[in-house]
Amino acid sequence: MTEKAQTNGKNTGNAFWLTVLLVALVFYVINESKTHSPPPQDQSISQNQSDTTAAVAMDLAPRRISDTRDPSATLKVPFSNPIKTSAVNDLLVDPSGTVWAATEAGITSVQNDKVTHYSLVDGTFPFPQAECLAHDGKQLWVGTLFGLCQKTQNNRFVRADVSESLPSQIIWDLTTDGTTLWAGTQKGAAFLNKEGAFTTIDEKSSNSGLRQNWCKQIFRMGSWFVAAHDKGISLWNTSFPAANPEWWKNIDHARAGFTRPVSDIAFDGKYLWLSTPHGVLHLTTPVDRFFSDFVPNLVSYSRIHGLPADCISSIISHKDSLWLATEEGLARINKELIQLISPESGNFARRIRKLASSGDLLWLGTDNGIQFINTAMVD
Amino acid sequence: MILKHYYFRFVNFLKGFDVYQLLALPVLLVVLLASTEFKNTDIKIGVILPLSGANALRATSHCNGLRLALKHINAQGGVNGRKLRLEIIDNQGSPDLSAEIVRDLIYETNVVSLIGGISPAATRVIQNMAEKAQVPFLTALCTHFEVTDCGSRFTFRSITDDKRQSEALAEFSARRFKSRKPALIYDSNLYGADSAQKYIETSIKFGQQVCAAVSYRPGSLNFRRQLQVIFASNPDSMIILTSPEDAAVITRHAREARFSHPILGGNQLASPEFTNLAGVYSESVITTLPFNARLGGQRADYFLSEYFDTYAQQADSDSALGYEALMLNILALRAGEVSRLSVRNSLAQLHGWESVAGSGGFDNSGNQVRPAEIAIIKERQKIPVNLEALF
Repeated sequence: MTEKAQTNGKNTGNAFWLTVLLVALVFYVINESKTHSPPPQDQSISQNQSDTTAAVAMDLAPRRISDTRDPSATLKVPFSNPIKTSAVNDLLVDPSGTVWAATEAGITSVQNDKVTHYSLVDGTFPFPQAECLAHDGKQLWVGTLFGLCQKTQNNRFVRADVSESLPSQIIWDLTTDGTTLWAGTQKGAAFLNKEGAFTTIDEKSSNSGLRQNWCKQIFRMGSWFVAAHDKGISLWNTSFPAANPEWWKNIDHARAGFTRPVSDIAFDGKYLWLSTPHGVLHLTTPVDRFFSDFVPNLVSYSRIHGLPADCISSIISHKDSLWLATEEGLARINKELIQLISPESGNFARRIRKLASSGDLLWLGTDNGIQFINTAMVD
Repeated sequence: MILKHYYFRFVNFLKGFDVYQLLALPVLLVVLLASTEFKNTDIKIGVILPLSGANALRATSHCNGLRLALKHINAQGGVNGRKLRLEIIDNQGSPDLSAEIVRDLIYETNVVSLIGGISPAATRVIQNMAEKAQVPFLTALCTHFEVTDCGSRFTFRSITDDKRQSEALAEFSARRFKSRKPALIYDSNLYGADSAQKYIETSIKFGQQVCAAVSYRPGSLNFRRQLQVIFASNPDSMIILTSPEDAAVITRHAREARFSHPILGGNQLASPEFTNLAGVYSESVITTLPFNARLGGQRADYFLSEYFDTYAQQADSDSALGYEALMLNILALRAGEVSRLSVRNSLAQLHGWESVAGSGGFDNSGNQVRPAEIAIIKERQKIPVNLEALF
């Protein structure tokens, strides 16, 4: 009897301690899940079908850039359901159609309806944030504030060995011209040469052709390389050596009267466009005449011309139109007409940070997610 | 012997437990400690200042103000029972080094907010990174107008900016001295060049036409050539927009060349270095005044006496603005959660406050609304012009 009671007591004791262990584990799991938001692996990003079928853009009255009297030229289109992410720094659609987002927490990819997050927390990305993206036709490159990453063939992100040859590990922008990778860093720009190392272009090596080293935005079009920095814009004709300042054109921010930083650069096939905190700027010299008669004349369009806000965070040329991401929503400039785009349905984060396009789809990276619209519905 | 006794007693005590009990306790302990993040209970605020190199004196003084505020806050129990910690790092005035420091503070130290910046170049780098990562950033020393005029959401400035300083200087010189033809001399750095541009724009409102605007490269020691250009245009006042050291040399050269018209300048001329270097030539120079203890009332009196007790020296405007900057962060932290977004939202709602520097507030773009005050230098003291008659 005593032995049985002892055994019972022991069993009760075991059960108590097991319960404590279980409670502790449950507590730990709950706490961990609060700390790191769960990766929404299979979020649906499809548009609402009923909205899609009824998606006739309600073009009320598009207004001309010069016309400031008409207050409503709003197009209503359905927006996709947002995919939740951290604040988006860059967006890219690769040749296979996968959408990549560089965010403040790492990388997010969207392939068909499958969403995958890569982060330092779960060990799938080597750095705490991602700043910019580029695809050179062979592989995806990710610029971060801690160095350059590349995606390996077995879908892992690793720090690229070539990162060491960059002038700075703080990478603000990446771009490609189809074959060559270009980087804008804190201490100058650089391109990946045939020997597999970066060649630096900075104030010193360009003999002040590049007016400042902090290359926050870079862009390639034809034979021209464009860098937006804290003193304005520098343009280099890459057919000639960077060391000769004669082959550089510069637009000083104070003389041209524009506000820094330049948040994005776009090329519409003829002209260069810049987005800034005080509107969008149009360089009136066509790119094919940069070499012969470059005039640093910029025309500004802002809220008084009908844009939803002055602060433009991204600009993209897509299907004969310029699309602008502002802190108050999306806008389009098409044949000198400004149209505001507002959601006919679906949630919409007004504060858009980055735009990317693929086919008819325009992807929007916001403060807290990724969305898209079908631009075919706008026309 | 006694140890052995206690050892055996302890072993016998452990034998009373089975393996489940022995395993559960340490696991529970580890889980609890990991869950409550016991190691990181302090609230961390990052401070980036040029504690060495140019501006080191101003930065050190600012840092002293921040440290005094920290001492007062933690003596009162911190923020909701949590101690406050300042992660103070020297950026040596370099924008590139600032970028690396801010990156590490944001992504590795996990600070809840940032304070700092003096030179526009370094401050703009800090601001860009803070905005991108959505971390609130407060500068109490950088006056470059574009810092809060660039669509920023997470940037705040508690010092009166160059735009308001230019307006105050233009208005005062136009009214008091009937100046219609001011001349500008400025350095080619961001501060000098952009401040000059702003002054030229502003002065038109007050009926002035800038007759000469001459720049020079930082590091110059002789300004006689620039001054000759200015004197040739026959100005009726001269505005100096540069560092206190260069401004002192320019003032000496101008006065030695018998330039008798008023000499004016922004906050830089209110610093002790200017009066120390310019000596008697600083007499009657007009400057904007970033800190007037009379406006702060009892708060300022308390701050000044505490500062003197702690550092055995008089507090200056940079230290007062440092004290105010941390107190603003505390107001924001106490108003909501200890998170970056909450601090940003609370700061954005601070449209009015009373501090050691007097009444202040942020406008919708996070810029200080406090008007610039004008002072005249008399016997190396900055006297607010509205009190000039008393001296």
